[in-house]
Amino acid sequence: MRNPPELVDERERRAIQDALASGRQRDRLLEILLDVRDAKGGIGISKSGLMFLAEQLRLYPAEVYEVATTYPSTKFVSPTPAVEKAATDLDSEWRVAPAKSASFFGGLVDGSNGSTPPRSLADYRESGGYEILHILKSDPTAADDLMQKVAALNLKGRAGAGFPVARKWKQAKRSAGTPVVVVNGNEGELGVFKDRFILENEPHAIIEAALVVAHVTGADHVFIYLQDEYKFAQSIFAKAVAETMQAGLAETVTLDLRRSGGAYICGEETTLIASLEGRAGRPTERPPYPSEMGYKGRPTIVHNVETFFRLRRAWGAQSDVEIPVSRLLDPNTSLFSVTGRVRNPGPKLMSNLLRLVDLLDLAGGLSRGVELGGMVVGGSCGTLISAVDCERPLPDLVQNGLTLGTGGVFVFSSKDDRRAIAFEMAAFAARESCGKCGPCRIGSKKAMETLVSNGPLDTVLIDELSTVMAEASLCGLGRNAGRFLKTLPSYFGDPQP
Amino acid sequence: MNEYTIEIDGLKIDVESGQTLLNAAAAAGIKLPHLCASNRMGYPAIGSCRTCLVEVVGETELVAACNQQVFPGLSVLTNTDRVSRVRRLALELLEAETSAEPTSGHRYSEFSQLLDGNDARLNHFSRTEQRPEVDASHSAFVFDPGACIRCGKCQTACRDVQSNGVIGFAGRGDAARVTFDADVKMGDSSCVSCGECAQICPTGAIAIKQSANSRDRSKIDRVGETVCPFCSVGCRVELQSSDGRLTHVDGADGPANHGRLCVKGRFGFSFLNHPERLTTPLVRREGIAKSEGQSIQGKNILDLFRPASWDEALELAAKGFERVSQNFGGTAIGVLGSAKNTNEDAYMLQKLARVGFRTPHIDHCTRLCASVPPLAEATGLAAVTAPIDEIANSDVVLMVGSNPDTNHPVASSVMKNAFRNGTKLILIDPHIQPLSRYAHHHFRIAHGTDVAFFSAMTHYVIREELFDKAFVESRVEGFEALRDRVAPYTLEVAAKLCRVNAEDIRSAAELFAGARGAMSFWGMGASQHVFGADNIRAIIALALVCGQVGKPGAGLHPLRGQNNVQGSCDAGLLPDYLPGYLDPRNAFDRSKCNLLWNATIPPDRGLSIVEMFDAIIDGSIHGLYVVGGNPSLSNPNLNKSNEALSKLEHLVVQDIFPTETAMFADVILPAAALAEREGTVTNTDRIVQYIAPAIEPPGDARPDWEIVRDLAVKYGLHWQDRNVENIFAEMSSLVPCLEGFFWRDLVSKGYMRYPLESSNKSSNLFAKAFYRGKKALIAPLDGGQISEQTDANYPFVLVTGRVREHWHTGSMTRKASVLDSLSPSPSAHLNPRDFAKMQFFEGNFVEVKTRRGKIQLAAVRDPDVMPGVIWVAMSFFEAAANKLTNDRIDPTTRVPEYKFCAASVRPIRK
Ligand SMILES: Cc1cc2nc3c(=O)[nH]c(=O)nc-3n(C[C@H](O)[C@H](O)[C@H](O)COP(=O)(O)O)c2cc1C
Ligand code: SF4
Ligand code: SF4
Ligand code: SF4
Ligand code: FES
Repeated sequence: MRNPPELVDERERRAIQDALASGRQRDRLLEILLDVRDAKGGIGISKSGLMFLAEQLRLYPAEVYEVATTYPSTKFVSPTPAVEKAATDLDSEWRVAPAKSASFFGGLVDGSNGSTPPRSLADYRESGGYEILHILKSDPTAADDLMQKVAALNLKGRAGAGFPVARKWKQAKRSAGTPVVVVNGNEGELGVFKDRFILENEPHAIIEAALVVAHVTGADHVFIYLQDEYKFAQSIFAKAVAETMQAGLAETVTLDLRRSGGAYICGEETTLIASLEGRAGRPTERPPYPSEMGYKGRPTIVHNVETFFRLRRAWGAQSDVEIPVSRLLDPNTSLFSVTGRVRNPGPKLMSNLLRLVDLLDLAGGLSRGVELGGMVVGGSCGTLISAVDCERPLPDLVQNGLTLGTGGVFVFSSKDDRRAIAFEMAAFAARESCGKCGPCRIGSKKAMETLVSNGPLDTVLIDELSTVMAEASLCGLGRNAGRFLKTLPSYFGDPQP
Repeated sequence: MNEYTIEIDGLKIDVESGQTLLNAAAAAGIKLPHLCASNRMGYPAIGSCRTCLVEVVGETELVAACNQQVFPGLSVLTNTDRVSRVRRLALELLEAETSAEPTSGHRYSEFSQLLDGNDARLNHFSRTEQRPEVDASHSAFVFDPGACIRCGKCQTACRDVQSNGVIGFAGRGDAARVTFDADVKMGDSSCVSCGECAQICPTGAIAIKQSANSRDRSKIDRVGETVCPFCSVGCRVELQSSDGRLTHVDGADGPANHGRLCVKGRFGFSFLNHPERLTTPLVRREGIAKSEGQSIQGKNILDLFRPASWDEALELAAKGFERVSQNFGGTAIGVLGSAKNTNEDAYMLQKLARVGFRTPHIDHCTRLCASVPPLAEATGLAAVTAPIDEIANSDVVLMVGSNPDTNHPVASSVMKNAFRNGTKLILIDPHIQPLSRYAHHHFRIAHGTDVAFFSAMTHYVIREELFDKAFVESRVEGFEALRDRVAPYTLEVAAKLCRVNAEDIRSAAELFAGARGAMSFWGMGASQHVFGADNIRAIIALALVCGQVGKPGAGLHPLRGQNNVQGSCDAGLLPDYLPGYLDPRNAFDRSKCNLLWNATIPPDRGLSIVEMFDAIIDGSIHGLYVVGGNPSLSNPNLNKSNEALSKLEHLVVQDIFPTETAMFADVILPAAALAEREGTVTNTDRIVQYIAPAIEPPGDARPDWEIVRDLAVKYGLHWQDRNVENIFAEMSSLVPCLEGFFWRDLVSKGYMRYPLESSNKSSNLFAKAFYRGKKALIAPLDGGQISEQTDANYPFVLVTGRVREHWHTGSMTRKASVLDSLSPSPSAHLNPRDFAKMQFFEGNFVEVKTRRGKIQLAAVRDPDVMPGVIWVAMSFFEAAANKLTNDRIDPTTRVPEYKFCAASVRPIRK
């Protein structure tokens, strides 16, 4: 090395060495950076610390630098990314007061979900939890039966795309190598917190289901990957995982609790896997699908938190009136994340939703003095729905192509600037683009730039951007953003309802 | 392999399975658009540029051709309106993020061509207004972020292909960008200047500074391929020239390099255009004495020599040797060749020596680094048992006294690829070196304790019965003697001698013996000692006992020096061997040559390089013909060598430059460089490569074999009709390993690996038997000792070596401007502890002195060097390290001791 590492501050050096004490494998790189950050009171590793760490792990400094700069949760001080800067510059030009980024779609403040404390292991087992593991262990045919049951119930993934669960397992079993199971609790979508609701209430339901998937597919490793900002859920899981292991329920499986890199893209499965391996946070093209070749080349089954939760239906788990979240065991019940101009935003369980406006009642009605302007359904890449359409029967909208995605519902008033909302959505894509592929990296920025202007919508430009983003982007982020843009001309073309 | 047809735009093409659509199409001559993909080995699909999208019939979404595997029945459409539009838009977006006036190389880039070809114009997308600063901090490259489309190919090039890991792709979203190390300027980074990134970059954003402006294809009037003239890896190179001047160098797809090059191959060729190239024969002017210490530096060569015609010069050259021969006999003539030349050159030269001059004294500089004789002794073949790329199948690698990252960089990239894939490295080297970071074990053994170290490993695997009994029984001779010899070397004894940890030796021994396949490499750190042959024997013994030869992932590989060491030895450019390693002292072997050559060759083993110089001083050698060597700088104990050169009655030097040695010459003959001529060269992996002239030689310079032929004619031999083709045919009739090699095959295929029978199936030899018979020989040791001890006057150990940027004595690389600016001056490296003890400051001038001479150079603080050691590179005439070194030689290999002598160092004012 031509440039000798600068001297590392003694405190930081100790923090790094402590972080290394729990494992020096390269795949823990993100965890190590997060540990150092925590030891430094929320301040990311310094550049000299980074060089020192690279030397300790025998990695190229460039590799560590990449990891530190592609995961925002590392809080590594790097030159301000251009888009983030652009977004703040634009802040001042906003014409509508409520359109402030963080509070706009509204998340929930950490640790205040207002629901009951998480169910303990004892209580969970009391009601029959983890029984299935005994059955699977003692009865060699049970695993196959269960798999058939999952296929027969036609259980689908809840991350948005609705991919059949059983098919993923089959792919993994067919592929070479010992499978790995991942609970995807990244939940990075704007204004969506349904997974958090589940995680904070029923940790053992998730752990049990993940262990079952491991058993059925022959996996020996389960990663529980939680959004870095979900500190409360993390503490719940740290305890729950320890209890599970102590109780001897996970003897043949390693349960690995990991924190996310703090970006939306970390929830994309190939990026998630990259972060588990200590590599830079960007997707790789599929195929190969993770279920064929994922974590360290092994077949990797990634499911959303809610998918794991609902899986328990296959072995007869019942809902319990004491435990509201358990209503999700009913396939006709959905979990919405309602935000915006309502009195009582939050996670809402709803069975057989007929019209979108019906959600308003669950959320305590519209805020005082507000007239409904419409809703955004499905998060940052979702669909803008007019107030009129919110009154229409939901099945009609679905027939016209509406997808509920992960159930994010943002309610806006008739006074809110719809253009600013669309801008906010495009800005989210630009901010969260990983920067790997041209269509998304450049297209999302251009879309944001054109939406910020006051003039008439440049429909030709929007059409070009949406086409190239939706058709050519490498991963779902850019593609979905493109699809969202595609809906804008017709939405804004309509007369104000 | 599975073959079937697929359809591209209705055209049926035959493909092999296991390929991407992009590569399969390219193989069938259909060039699909792409930017971030490459069909070169080691470049996986990145998928970032999105310009390769096509429609697959039956799929709704567009598919990236670079990531789509072919399958039977695949049918794709590449030019539908949908595809064309999306591709054009993707290109326009990329164009929009580059700044308005990117570097000029950009204009001739793949990206610009693709923009033009797809009619991509900035219709709707406005161009970025940012004009990021150009990074020109590196002396060989420029990086213009404004021209970069962030495709990430350079990161793959640097990290995954060359395994240098300097380039990263950092940041998110629009802030994603190419970075060096932890975001420093390229010139301040750990870049080793291999240039892979610049070669692969599709936009010219990273470009070679010197040739960024000469990439205009329309101005290139000649493109040719040759083989790199530096190390023995034998990389294939593409030279582009315009008006006879070299404008640009790229890696070509050769069997050893697959498109890769190192800094020397990339930038070293500019010596071809150097103004000091010899262009005409020169004859020493009347009355100019040959005085010692004459230097060409700063001197006009025409003060000492006058130009002459070829005819006159050859006449004078031949006359001189005739005179020596008449007065003292043919054995008073010595001939020194070079491993830089072709097989045909080597063959002709040794034949002239033996048949024409009738002298056995023929040698070349391989001598100075030879690490092969002990291998020939063990197996019967003087060549590697397995090629470098066999390492991909190894789970363990033993690397002794070699620093391939500096000396064989492209081989090192192949090794690092393997280490990154999990192959474990056991490194034995006193110094910290680039491969240390990949090492599972790094033993920094005390200088000169190799034999003890390997004996202990061998002792341990025998005692613990970890060795391969079946192999030893059926395939090894000399086991009992070995067992007895290593008996005293317990782990503890060796640990103490070598100053390493006994536990670690044990663990390394277990690792090596337990490996499914382990390769052993060694280099000059093992061989350049008076007991170098013993060091190597000890390594070979360990490998044989553990059965680590002749199976996948196993093998013995001495890392050779010069580009054509293997071929020059095969051709008989050696004092103890005739072509094909026939023994001149053996009447039967000799008669083979005599019959073919219609001659009576001397029945003796000749003198080696170092011995020839002693013989000159003794007065038994009076005439010397030096072809392509520079003993004035490369020989040990230079002062003595120069004394010898000035004593010679007749010296003919044939070279591409007026070397230090040429200053003592009577006649200087200008040779064409390797790139300027036709012939064959053989690399360390036993691959014989054919080369055709890639560029014009300057002036009257001519190929060596041709000059040798004409000199022979002047000397009275009837060689007028010799040409490369019939020389090769004659040579291959004598050299058993070239059996079955035909010139026309080499010309058409470009290369062939010997021995031919195994090259079809496996390049890894000796699965069933060795060349010498079923069993390999574990030879006894000569038992040499360090020839010189440190003492109060000379308390340091001096070790010589090389820097990545320079080759050998620097006669070519020091004349390549980029290389010289990357590594411009000599320095003495000392451990920081010694630095402090001696109260040196960085950059202080010091005098390094040994019992033979002294040099002055700058001192450098270097934690990679062990305390008590001074490390000096050999490539600098300003401070010729070989003024210091010892000319004591190994009894078997006759290799001098370059790696160990006692020295002192003191500060001087300058
Ligand atoms: C940009 C992007 C972000 C994603 N984020 C998440 C996420 O936060 N949580 C999640 O479960 N899936 C997320 N996914 C989907 C995952 O890639 C993966 O498909 C999913 O975890 C599979 O779960 P399922 O089988 O339960 O549907 C994301 C996908 C993309 C393209
Ligand atoms: S679509 Fe966006 S997030 Fe996905 S790879 Fe491309 S740049 Fe990254
Ligand atoms: S410098 Fe060249 S190779 Fe590297 S990302 Fe930019 S355009 Fe691609
Ligand atoms: S010096 Fe050796 S490794 Fe470098 S390009 Fe030449 S042959 Fe290849
Ligand atoms: S060549 Fe296929 S995405 Fe770049």
